[in-house]
Amino acid sequence: MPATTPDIELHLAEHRPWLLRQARWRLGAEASAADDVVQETLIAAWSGVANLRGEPTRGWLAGILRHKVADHWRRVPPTDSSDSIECGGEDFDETGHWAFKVADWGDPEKILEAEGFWGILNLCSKIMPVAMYRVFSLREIDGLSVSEVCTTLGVSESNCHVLLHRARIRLRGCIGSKWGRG
Amino acid sequence: MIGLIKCQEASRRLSRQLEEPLGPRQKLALTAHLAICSHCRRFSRQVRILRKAFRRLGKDDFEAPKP
Repeated sequence: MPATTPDIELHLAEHRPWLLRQARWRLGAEASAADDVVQETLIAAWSGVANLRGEPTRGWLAGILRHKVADHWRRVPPTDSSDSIECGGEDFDETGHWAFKVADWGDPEKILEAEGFWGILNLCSKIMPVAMYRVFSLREIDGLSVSEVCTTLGVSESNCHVLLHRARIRLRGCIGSKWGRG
Repeated sequence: MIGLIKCQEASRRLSRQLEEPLGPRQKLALTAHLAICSHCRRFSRQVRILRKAFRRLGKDDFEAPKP
């Protein structure tokens, strides 16, 4: 028997907290847009649910959310795109060596389960430059290829590679400094 | 002859390697650099941890921690 309207409304509402967390992680410093993005996702889900066989799943909703996040990015251009690409000389000295000590984080297998890791990761993702984090989010959270990231954001492939490299250096530096393991 | 590289280029290649395989000469120079540089070996491990963490966030069955 097909689900009735109130059933589906309830079911979609149950997914809202999960969608909100997903949106916030994807948006980084732009997390204040998460509420709007999730509302748009739920409206689109509601419109599309008639064509769906069975109940709406997280996978189906996440697909809609990804599109809505990308719509937001197309509507709101990043204000820091050139800064994100140009800065970065401070990470290496004039001879091309690291300008700071790259300290050990301990056992890589244990770190993701370590207390406090995810909080620090979130804090660090929120202080990333917007243009840089958008590229990183699509590549790392959604697993898009570089060419797909470029098409979605209208960034050249070489800039994408530069931004990903810079994002990784920045994130690891931020995590290290906040975790006392620079 | 394989060109020697410094940390800046090594880190760039380590990052690039997460997107696509390096050419054999690029990879060989990177391997040679990693053999002598503990900082870049750590950077290599750390970017892989970051990859693992963020990919986990994108999985439908993962309860992402509240941001």
